[in-house]
Amino acid sequence: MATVSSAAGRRWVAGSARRLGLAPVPLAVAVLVALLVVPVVLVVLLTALRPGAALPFDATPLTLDNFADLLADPFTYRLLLNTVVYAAVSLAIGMALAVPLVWLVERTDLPAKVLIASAMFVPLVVPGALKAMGWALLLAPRQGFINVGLRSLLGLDTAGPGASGPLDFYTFAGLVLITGTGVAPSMFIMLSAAFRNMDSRLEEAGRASGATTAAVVQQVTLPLMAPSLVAASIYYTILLFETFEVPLVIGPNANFQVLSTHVYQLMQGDATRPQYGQAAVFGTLAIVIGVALAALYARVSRDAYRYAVLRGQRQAPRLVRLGRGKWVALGAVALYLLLADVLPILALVWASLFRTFTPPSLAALSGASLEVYRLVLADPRWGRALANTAILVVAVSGATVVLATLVAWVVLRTRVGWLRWLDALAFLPRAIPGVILALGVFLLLIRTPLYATIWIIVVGQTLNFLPYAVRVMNATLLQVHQELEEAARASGAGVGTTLAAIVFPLLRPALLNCTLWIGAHSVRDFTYPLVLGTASNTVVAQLLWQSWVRGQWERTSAMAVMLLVAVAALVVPARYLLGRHESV
Amino acid sequence: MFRVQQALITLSVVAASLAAACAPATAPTAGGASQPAGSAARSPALQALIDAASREGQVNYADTGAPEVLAEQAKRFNERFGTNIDVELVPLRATETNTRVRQEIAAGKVTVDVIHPSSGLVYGLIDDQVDALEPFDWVGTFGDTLPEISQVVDRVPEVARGRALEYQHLVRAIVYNKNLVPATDVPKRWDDLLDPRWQGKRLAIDPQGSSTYQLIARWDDARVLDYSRKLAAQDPLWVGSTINVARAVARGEALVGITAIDNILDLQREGEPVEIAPTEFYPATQQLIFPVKGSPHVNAARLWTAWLTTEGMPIAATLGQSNQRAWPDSNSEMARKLIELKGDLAMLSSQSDLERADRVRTQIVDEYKRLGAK
Repeated sequence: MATVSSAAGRRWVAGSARRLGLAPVPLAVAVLVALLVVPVVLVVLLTALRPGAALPFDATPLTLDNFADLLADPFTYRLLLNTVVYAAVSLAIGMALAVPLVWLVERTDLPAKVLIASAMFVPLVVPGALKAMGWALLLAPRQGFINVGLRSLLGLDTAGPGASGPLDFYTFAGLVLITGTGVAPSMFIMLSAAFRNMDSRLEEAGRASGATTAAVVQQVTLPLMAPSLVAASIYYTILLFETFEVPLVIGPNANFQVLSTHVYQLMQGDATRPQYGQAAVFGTLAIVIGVALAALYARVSRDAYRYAVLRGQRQAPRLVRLGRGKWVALGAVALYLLLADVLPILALVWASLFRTFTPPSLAALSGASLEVYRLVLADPRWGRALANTAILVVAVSGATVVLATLVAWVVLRTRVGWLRWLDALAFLPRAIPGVILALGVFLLLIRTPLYATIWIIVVGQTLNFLPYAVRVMNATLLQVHQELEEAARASGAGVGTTLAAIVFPLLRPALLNCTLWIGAHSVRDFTYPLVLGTASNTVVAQLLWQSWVRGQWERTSAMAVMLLVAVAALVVPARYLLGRHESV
Repeated sequence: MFRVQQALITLSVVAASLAAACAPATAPTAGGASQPAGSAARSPALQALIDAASREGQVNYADTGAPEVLAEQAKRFNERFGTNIDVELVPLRATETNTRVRQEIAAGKVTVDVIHPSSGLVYGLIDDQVDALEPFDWVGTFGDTLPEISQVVDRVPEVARGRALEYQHLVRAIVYNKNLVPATDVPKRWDDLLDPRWQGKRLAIDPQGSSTYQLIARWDDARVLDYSRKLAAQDPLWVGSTINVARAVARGEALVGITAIDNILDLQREGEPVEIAPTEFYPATQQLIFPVKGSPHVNAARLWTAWLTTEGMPIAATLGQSNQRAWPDSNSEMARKLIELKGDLAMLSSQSDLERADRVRTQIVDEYKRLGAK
């Protein structure tokens, strides 16, 4: 059997790689990704060179005025600084929550681990805007449920009607706390796959040498996880750079604006003409930053194969025994889930039970009813939106995962010169703010039959989630040493057989996790439905957003609760079963 | 046997003749739309429009009203003309429809059939880049069947006359929560909102400029812009739509706000503790309604538009829709309320008004967009 240790073997591998570079599969994958990504990016760049509300293909002269105006405006730099600070602090909060949680679930004897891991999928279903709304119900300065309760408990109502506080939700702290706790679950999922595939023998060797658990974590676990941690940090930095739902809800009243909300305002125009040109210039700036980060990621992961520890043999990790500390840890995890996810959802549930805004109280409970649910269910748009959403979720998650796996395999296994750019190309959509990418998809496809159908949203979301899926499959495939595939090919198996019989089965846990993650995020996405939605392709997110901006909190809450219940009923059992399978 | 057959045939013919003689005087026309019994004779132009609308079978109507109200309106509309047109609700706010319409017209693929932005926003849809309105002979087509149509045509500002119809009025007012604002603190003038007692998110306003731009009805541009800046400096609660301002005040999240009177009336009907503050004037704009140029169901759009603005108005009122016309002679709930308040209705209607409205609103929004990055 050929191995990489012999010179002849290395020549064989290099030759195979060259041949693979011209093989149909890698070529088809490269062409498909290029056709998906490149035209959208070009449309964005072209729009940046058009004045005012001009569209990219209008017969207006190209101009650099938008760039000149942007660079000369001090507001631009203040906005960028705001955005960097917001992203950095939110990232730190998210990582501070996700990493310990992953370690507790994957490496210790924490009770109810499978349940906790499954429960981490549930928050993914709740759009960030709705979670922020739930927190608004809880912590609005004047009528938030918690503030009303605290004022009563602490005797702070002496200020009379109109008293506010003591907690103020509309602050920078509120903004980053909601954002950070909101991204922690998806960080957890992204990192847990890599943790799971990491061979624990190195950690056990450290403990067997007498090192404490803390020392093993610090000197073995974290360095082994470094590429995955760096990859996740880069990915979420870019994601947080362009996140706009939570800043849109909280930012204006926190007097804190970020790049994404400003771009959205420019695009929508509101009462004024849309400023596509200015919006696209910010998009171009974001592309430059994103490409730089992508290049950084590529540099970090270039030698990451050295960390590949999933070889031909694998055994379940020996769990760290927490002793009595496990109950403390369990309590901390439960507290996090309660505060971050359960409380705002409970607030939504409560709000959905009343036709008008009603702070919680035992006396108010007698007025609770399902009337709002009846109104929502009677709305013919609700049924259509549910059907469209189901189509969207299945199509987006399936297409994205398959394409991402092929991209990751082509990039990591072929190592053909020009195909390395495929990784950067597949990551490029992440570098573009979602609203800009959505605008690009809109401008590109508006004259095609895809416009006003669910498929234009499928295209947009596939582009949006492709970078995440590629990163996950990259990180997972990095843990899988090439020797397994080389063994198959040396035995005469072709590319297709190797993929089907070796690669995909090894990647199955990550594939399923990724599919669930993308499906959940597809449901919660607001950007693409809002920009690309029309009367004929309405999905649930559009209905939620529309009722929210009209202040119909009770309807929004009812729709959110129904959506959450439906998706949780599908995702949580699936995740639970997957978790049990992996723990056997 | 042959005689029995002859008798049966004869009896059948007689029976059919009797049935035809007793049948209602409805004559199915090409396209299948039939005139309901008792309706006045229609002009050929109107009948042709109804037939074409029936063939289209659908109209996409951009509105933020309650779906159940629209469903009832659609039912009455179809009963009126003997049609079976599906009225699809496209839940876009007026400001959102502008963006959507501009995009779709520029791309040559319009999906929204009927929109009703305020006149200040309509002005922005009639420029060289976007010409969203199409001329149509409303009076000639509908005059015999819907006599009120000539009024709703004539009241439209000149820039859009013959292309849009007057639909509803957006009348701005200060709303306050009567459970939280003592009677002595109720604002009596627009400038009272600049009082320090309304600082710290006690005042709710719309960041899209709708709260203040209509004040140009009585103030000059500089004063309106200055007032808008001072309101922003009050650290207000920014709420993303006019109706949401009213709801925020109803919830007690803010104590006062600037919203439209119909929003206040709707919430009062729901039992919410909101009231209209008496101010020196109530600025207003017309909401103009029209089929979008290039829409896919243009005939159904025209039929729906004409009915909504005439016979549809009192029906909407009975269904609880407060957004009506505010003219004193319209006998709407809103008009009666303004009379009760002895309010000065300051309507923006001339072309210069609309130009100023467009310009001032743009400036306000552009300034508001730059807040929050210090």
